[in-house]
Amino acid sequence: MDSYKTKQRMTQGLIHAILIVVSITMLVPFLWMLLTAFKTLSESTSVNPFVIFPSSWKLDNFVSVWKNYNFLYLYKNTILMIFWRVVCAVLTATLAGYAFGRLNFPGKNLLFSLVLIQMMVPSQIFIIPQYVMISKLGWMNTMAGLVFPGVVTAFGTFLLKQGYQGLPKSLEEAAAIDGCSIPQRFLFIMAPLTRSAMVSLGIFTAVFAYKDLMWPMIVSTKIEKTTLSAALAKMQGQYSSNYPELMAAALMACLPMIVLYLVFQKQFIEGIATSGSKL
Amino acid sequence: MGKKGKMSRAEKNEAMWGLLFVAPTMIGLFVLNFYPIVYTIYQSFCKTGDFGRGNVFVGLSNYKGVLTSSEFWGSLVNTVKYALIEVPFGIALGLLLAVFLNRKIAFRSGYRTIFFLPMVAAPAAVAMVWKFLYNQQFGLLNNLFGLNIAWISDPNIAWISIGVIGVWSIVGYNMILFLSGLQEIPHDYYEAAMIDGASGIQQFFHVTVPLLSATTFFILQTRIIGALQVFDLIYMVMDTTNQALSSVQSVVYLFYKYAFTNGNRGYGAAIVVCMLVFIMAITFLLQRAEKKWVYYD
Amino acid sequence: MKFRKMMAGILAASLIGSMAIAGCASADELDSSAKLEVWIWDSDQQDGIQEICDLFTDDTGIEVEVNVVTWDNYWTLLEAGASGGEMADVFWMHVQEAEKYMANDILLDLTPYIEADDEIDMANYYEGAVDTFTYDGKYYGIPKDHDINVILYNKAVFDEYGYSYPDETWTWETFYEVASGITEASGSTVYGAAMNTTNDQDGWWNIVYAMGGGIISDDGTTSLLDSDETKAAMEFVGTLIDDAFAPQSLVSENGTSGLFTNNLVAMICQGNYTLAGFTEYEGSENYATAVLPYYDANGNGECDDGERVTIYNSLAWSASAGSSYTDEAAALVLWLSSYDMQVKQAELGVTLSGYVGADSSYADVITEKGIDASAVAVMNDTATLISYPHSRYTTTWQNYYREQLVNAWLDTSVMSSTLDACASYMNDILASE
Repeated sequence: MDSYKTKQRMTQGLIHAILIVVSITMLVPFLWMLLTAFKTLSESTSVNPFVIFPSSWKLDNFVSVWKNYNFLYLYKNTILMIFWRVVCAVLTATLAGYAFGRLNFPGKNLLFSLVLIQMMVPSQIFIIPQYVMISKLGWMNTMAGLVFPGVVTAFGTFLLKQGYQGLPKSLEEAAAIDGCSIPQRFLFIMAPLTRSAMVSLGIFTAVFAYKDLMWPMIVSTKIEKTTLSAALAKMQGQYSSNYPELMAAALMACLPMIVLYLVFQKQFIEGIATSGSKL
Repeated sequence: MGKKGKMSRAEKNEAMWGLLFVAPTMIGLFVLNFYPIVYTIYQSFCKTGDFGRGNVFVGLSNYKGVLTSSEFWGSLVNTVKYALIEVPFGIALGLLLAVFLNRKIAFRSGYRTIFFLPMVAAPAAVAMVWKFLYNQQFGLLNNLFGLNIAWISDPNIAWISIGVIGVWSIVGYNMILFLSGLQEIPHDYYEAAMIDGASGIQQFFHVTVPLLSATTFFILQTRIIGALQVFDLIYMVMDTTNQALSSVQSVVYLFYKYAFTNGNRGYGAAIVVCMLVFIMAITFLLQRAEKKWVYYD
Repeated sequence: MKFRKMMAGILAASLIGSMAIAGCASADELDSSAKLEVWIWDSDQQDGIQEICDLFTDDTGIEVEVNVVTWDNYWTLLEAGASGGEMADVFWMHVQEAEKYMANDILLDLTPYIEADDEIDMANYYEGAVDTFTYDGKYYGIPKDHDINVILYNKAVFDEYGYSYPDETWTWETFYEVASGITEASGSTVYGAAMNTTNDQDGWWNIVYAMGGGIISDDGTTSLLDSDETKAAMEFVGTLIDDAFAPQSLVSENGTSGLFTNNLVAMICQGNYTLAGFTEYEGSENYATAVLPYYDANGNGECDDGERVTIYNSLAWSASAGSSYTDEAAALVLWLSSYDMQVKQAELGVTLSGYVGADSSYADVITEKGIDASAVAVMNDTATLISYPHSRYTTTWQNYYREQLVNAWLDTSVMSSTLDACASYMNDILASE
C-alpha cells in the first residue's frame, strides 16, 4: 500500500511538472509583452539576457500610444461591433437552427448543405465583393459596415440545429396537440431550452468578432472608427521596431478580452465546450 | 409523414414557417457568401481587366497556369506541412492536458485558465509578440539560451516556428473540447477497467481513446479545415523579403498575393478554387473515415 | 444603389460637359456646402496636409477631411472604389499605379481647370513627374512633392571604428571600402550598411543609374535589368552584400531602419521623407545625413555633372472622375499645388515640394527637429535627379524582382542569372501592356 502511495505521489508530481512547463510556455509571450511595454527602447533590444525587468515601471509607452491612437474610441467600437454581431448572429441562427432541426420544408437538405459548404471556404474570397457592397451602400467607416459580414452565421446555424435536434420530440408534440402554432412552440417551448447553445454561440461570436482583422482594416479607414485588432495591425506598420510601444499597444488591446474572460471564465469555457460537443 | 406529391395543410403550414425562419440566414449567406463564391468561380475562368472591367473569358488557362506552377504546389506542400504540425501536436497536447485536468488535481482551474488564455488574445498582438520572441538579434529565445538561430528566416526552421505559434494558439481550445468529451464518459467504464487491473496508461488507451473518438474526430475535422486556411499568422509574421517566405507561404497567402497585391484576380480566383476542391476532397475522405473508425454508442 | 450611382455618373458627366463649354468654375461658383474626402497613405503627413486643407476651407467654405489609409490597403481600397464603390474625392496617386488609373478614366482630367487658372503652370513642376501623370496629352495629376535620397549615418559607430564621416568626396567605391571595413573590424557584429531588395528607389537603383544602367528602356517596352551596365552595377552591389551589408535575415526581420536605430548599422540610404521619424529615437543626436556617393565615370577623381545621381519620385494630387463634386475637388487639387501652398508644405516640414524651388526651407525645418539635413538641400540642388522608372503594371514586375532578388542577396553568384529571369518576366508583362 505504501509503494502505491509513493507511486501515486510520483505520478502527481510528474503531472504537475508537465502542467507547469506548459503553463510557462503559455504565459511567457504575455509576460514578455507586459515587461517590454515598460522598457525603454534600448532596454527592449538589449542582448544581455539578464535585462528581463525594466529599470523603472513608468507608463510612458502606454501614454504615448494612448495619445497617438485614441483607445477610448477603439474600445467603444470594438464593444459595439461585438454586441451587434452577437445579437444578429444569435437571432438569425436560432431561427434557422430551429427550422433546420425541427421543421420540414422543401429544399431543406439542399439549403443545409450550402450552409456546410460555406464553412469550408476561406473567408478571404468574400472580402472584395463584400467591400464593394459596403462601399456602394455608403457604409464605409460606420458601425453597420463593421457588423455587416457577421449578421448571419453558417457555423451558428449548424450549432443551433444540433441543439434543437438534441431535444426530445415529445415536448413539441404535446404542445402541438394543445393547439400551439409553430411560432408559439418555437418561442415559448423550444427556444428557451437551447439557451446554453445560444450562450455558446454568443461567446464564440464575440471571441471571433474581437479577433477579426482583415475586415475592420478594410472598411474602417479612420482610426477613430476602427477596432482594437485592426488598429494594432496598423501600428505594426508604423512603429515597425519600436517594441516597447508596440507591446504597450498589444497589451492594451488584449486586456479587455482577457479581463472579460477571467471574470466570466465559467461561461467562456462552457460556451466553447458546447460549441464543440454539440457538433 | 406526408407522401410525395400533395402536402397536407399542416405540412404546408410547416413548410411556410420553415422557409420563413431560414430566410434571414439564407438571404444573408447568399448575399455575403454565395454570390462572392460564384463570382470568384466566374473570375477564375477570366483574364480580369483593370477595375473589374473588360473581363475576357479565357477558359481553363488560369487553372493550367496554377496547376503547372511550382509556386502553387509548393504553397500546397507548405500548407500541409503547417497542418501536420498544428493538427497532430495541437490535438495530442490538448488531449494530454485534458486527461490530466480531468483528474482531481491541485490548481486545476488555474491551469485551465492559463491554457485557454491564447484563445482570447488579439491575433495581431500574438503575431507581434512572437515575432519579437523569435527575432534573431533581439529575441528572448536566442538571448536567453545564447543561440543565434534565425527562427523565422531560416527556410528549414521557419515552418516549424510558425507551426509552434499555431499549436500555442489552439491547444487550449482543443483541450476544452476534450475535457467536455471526457466528462461525458461514464465512470463505470474506468471502474470496470480498474477491477480488471488496467493501469492508468492502459485505461487511457482502452477506455478513453475509443470513447473519445467522436470528439477527437470532430476536432480533427475542424482543425484540418482551419489549418488548411492558415493566412493571418503568416501574413503578419513573415515580411515579403523574408528568405523563408517561399517555404512557408500557404495557399491562401498565395491567393492574397495574386488577387490583392498583384491585382491578378482571375489567377488568384483559380488558386482559391483549387484550394476549395482540395478542402472538399479532404472533408469527404474524413467523413468516409469517420464512419469506419469512430465509435458511437 | 444603382440609381444613385447612375445619377452621380450623369451628374459628373454633365458637369464635365458644361465645364468644357463654359471653361472653368471660378471660386465663387463652387458649392460651399460640398464636403471633400481626401485619402493619403502617410500618417506623418496627415497633420500638415490637413492644415493646408483647412486654409482651403477658410477660403471657400468647403469642408475637407483628410484620411490616412495604410499603404497595404490603399490600392486595394482605391481599386475597389474605382470598380464601382465610393471613392475619395481627392487622393494621392503614385507612379506605380498612375497609368492604369489614367487609361481607365478613373481620374478626373484636370487640363481644363489648369488652363483656366492663371496661377498654375505645369512648366513649374518637375518635368519627369508631370510626364508621369500625363496621359494622351491630358493632365491627370499635379506633382505634390518630390523626394530624394541621402545617406543617413550614425556618428557614434563611425567614431568607434575610426572612420571619417561620409561627405561629398565619397564615391561608391569609398562607400564600399568604409562599409566593408566597419563590418570586418567589428567581426560582423556591427555592419557598415544595410539594404533590402525592396530598397530599390532608396537604394540599389541609385547605384544602377549612377553606373549607367537602368531598369526600363525610355520607350517603356524593354527591361534593362539584364543590360550589361545594370548587371555590372548589380555585381558591385553583390560585393557590398558579401562584404558590407547586414545579412538578409536580419534585414527582413528588423528592417534597415530597425537595425540602424539599434546601432547595428553605420549607414543606410534613406528617402528624405523618413528623416523626421528618426528624430524620435534614443541616440538620434548621433544621426546625420550626407549626400549619396558619386560614381567617377570618367575617372578624373572629382564629381562631375551627372555623376551624382538620385532617383526622385513625385506623388501627385489627383481627383476622382466619379466624384459628386468634381469642380470642388479640382479646386482643391489646384489649391494644394499652388506655389504658396507648396511653400507652406515645405515650411511645415511635410516634404520637398513638387513645385521646383518652393522647398528651400525644408532642410532647415528637419534640421531643427534634430537631424542635420543640410545634405538634403545640397543633394536637391546639385545632384542629377532621375525620375522613378515605371510602366503600366509596375507593381507586378517590381514585386516579382523584389522577391526573386532575395536569392541573389543570399548567394551573389546567382546575381546575373536572377537578373536575366527578372528581365524576362518583366518583358512579358511589358508586352501585355
